Amino acid sequence: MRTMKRDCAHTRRNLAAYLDRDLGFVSRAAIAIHLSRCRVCADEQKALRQAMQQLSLVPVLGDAARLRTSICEAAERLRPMTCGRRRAKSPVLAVAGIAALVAAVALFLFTRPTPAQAAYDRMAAAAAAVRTCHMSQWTQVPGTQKETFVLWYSDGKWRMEGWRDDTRTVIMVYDGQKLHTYDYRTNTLHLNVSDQPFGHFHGFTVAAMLSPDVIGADAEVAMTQVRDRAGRPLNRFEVIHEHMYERTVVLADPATDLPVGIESYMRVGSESDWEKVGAADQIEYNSAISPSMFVLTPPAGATIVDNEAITADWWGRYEKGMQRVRADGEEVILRDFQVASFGDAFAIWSPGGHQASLSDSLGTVYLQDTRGHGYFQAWSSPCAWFVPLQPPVTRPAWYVLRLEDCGAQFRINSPVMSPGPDPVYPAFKSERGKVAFLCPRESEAEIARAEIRAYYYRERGDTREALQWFEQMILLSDREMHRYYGLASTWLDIGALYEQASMPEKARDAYRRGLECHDRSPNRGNPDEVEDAGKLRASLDRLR
Amino acid sequence: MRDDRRLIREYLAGSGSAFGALFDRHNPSLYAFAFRLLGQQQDAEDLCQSTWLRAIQSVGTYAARGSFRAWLHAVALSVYKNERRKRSLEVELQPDIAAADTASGTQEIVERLELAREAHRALLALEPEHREVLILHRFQGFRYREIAAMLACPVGTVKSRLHYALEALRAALQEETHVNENDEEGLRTHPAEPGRVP
Repeated sequence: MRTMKRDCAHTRRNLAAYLDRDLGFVSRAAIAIHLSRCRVCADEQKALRQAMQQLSLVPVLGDAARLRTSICEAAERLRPMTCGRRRAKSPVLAVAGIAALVAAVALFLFTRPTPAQAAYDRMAAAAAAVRTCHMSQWTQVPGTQKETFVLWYSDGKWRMEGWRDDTRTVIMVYDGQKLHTYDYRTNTLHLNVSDQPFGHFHGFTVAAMLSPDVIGADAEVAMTQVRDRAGRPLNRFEVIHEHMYERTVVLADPATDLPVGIESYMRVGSESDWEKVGAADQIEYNSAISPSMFVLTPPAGATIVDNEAITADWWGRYEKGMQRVRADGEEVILRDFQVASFGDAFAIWSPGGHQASLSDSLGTVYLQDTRGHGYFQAWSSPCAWFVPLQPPVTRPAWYVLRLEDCGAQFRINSPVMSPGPDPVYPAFKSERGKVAFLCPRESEAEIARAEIRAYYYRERGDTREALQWFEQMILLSDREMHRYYGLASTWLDIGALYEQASMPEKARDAYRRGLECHDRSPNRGNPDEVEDAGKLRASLDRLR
Repeated sequence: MRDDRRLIREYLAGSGSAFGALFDRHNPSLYAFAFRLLGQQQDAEDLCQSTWLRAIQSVGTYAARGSFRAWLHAVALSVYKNERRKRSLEVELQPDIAAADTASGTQEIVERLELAREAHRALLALEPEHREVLILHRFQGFRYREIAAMLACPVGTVKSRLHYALEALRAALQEETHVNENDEEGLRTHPAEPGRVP
């Protein structure tokens, strides 16, 4: 069995803290960005939030007020005898009184804000007064490609540009009303209402980066005095998130109290094995920033996806239904059918007047297209997701959806085309009106499809097809992510397939490549990866 | 309003009303904690009673370093743990929500009650040490540091217990309410399920 991808595992481990706004700035940004791309983790986040909401419904029955009389009687009866009931007349008690006074003064001094806390509060106050800010930051979850973000902030508006190596991949502009996201790869501009790139409530400000919501209200803050390379003194605040295996370091200039650097660290192995996973530096304050920075004009020919309008369309289609057929004495309504890039199809249907998808209650479902090719049903809820077993070269002219148990059949000649690799539909119930998924990066979707096909064919015993898709997946992962983590287990699967096909040389090569990936993986201390590496070595030994 | 420390001083000095004021201020929160922890009104009342009696006996040891409310909850936890130890076996806890009148409610109320019952059932099914931390943090509003002081454990332990508690709760609720999403789980971590293709 494969383990989930490591960036997904990291996100899942931190989801509760993310929802509680108890993560460091860079980690929070990394998770927000991952959630905007990964449908599976976004679903997990939604499920966890729903669980928290559901938990809040737990009522309290009764109040135990009737205990009052008996408890108060017991309190009178059992009242402890203390020196407080006597007057301090003796010299000994006078000395005790002085000692108590000294203790009270000490307590007063002790409960005053510590120098570290006072300096941290001064820094937060200085950051709150910032009018404009320009900074560069980078983030790199272990085993992924480094991403750089350049940020401009001015009076509530902000712009963020995302870069990978020397290529600009995304621009996000929040103009005070809408979030504009331009994706260079797909030449698409997405418009959303009041979204935030880092997921916190304040939008992007320097003050927000330092707020308890982001840094963590309960985190321990320690301060030391350090010097920068030029010998100037700096206040170094270290914020430790013990359970998250994270720590954030904020460097502030004591002359201005403004932060001049923020660094984020993650524990990647033993207790002393920390890796820097992000940093904000090159921070400039209160310099002039042109208003044109907060206007995003996409290049000619860009596709503009207005998610508000798409959501409204979706609800209209969903409530009205695309097609109706009678089957087994009941009316079955096809409420939505979308085809996304890579040829994936997404369908929602329901019997009678039910609004929600009841796909599972209608049993086995088959989808075929013009070419007569089959689809693998990857998910069934909340909508059925069909992955073509072979990627379509051209767009099929029609599709047939057959619900086997009730015998209903729909022929769809004009499916709705989704602008990205996922369907556009709002989440059900609690999230009505919001767009569920904002089209993750297509390259990652492509990797996921290759992975699905590889495992599908492996389960069917079609070694040749399975190997082809596994290798495609490796190729895409290497090209898109430059990552090494997690691939060891894929190479382990590949090696096993070659062994099955009686190709020991190829199998040995696969195991060797798996070990290379492990050696280069920043997550090599992770128990899953260590286990995979052990299996790879054992397999190599066996083949020797 | 007199603060808790002053009320305690007055109580210790012989005031007849000070303890009543303390009780009125803190008993609702203490009872809520006990009810969520145990799921039954009678058990919750018993825990409250034992807690208050223990608090009366040991109020002289309240050092006023933290809040009285946190100290009282720490006493409740100690009483609860002793009781649990005495019983030696953890009894399967059931939420006492059935007593609520659902017959006359609207569909929406009935659904909400059902959701609440599911949530409380899932909460009671958690490991005791996870349940305690979850209730103290999410319902009682204590900070990590306060909970750590109550449980005499590191803050990191509190945080990790909270994380595991939420994970287990999410899994339990998802299993209960979205049984048919199991297919999704299958896709996330397991090889694709064959046999769905004509």
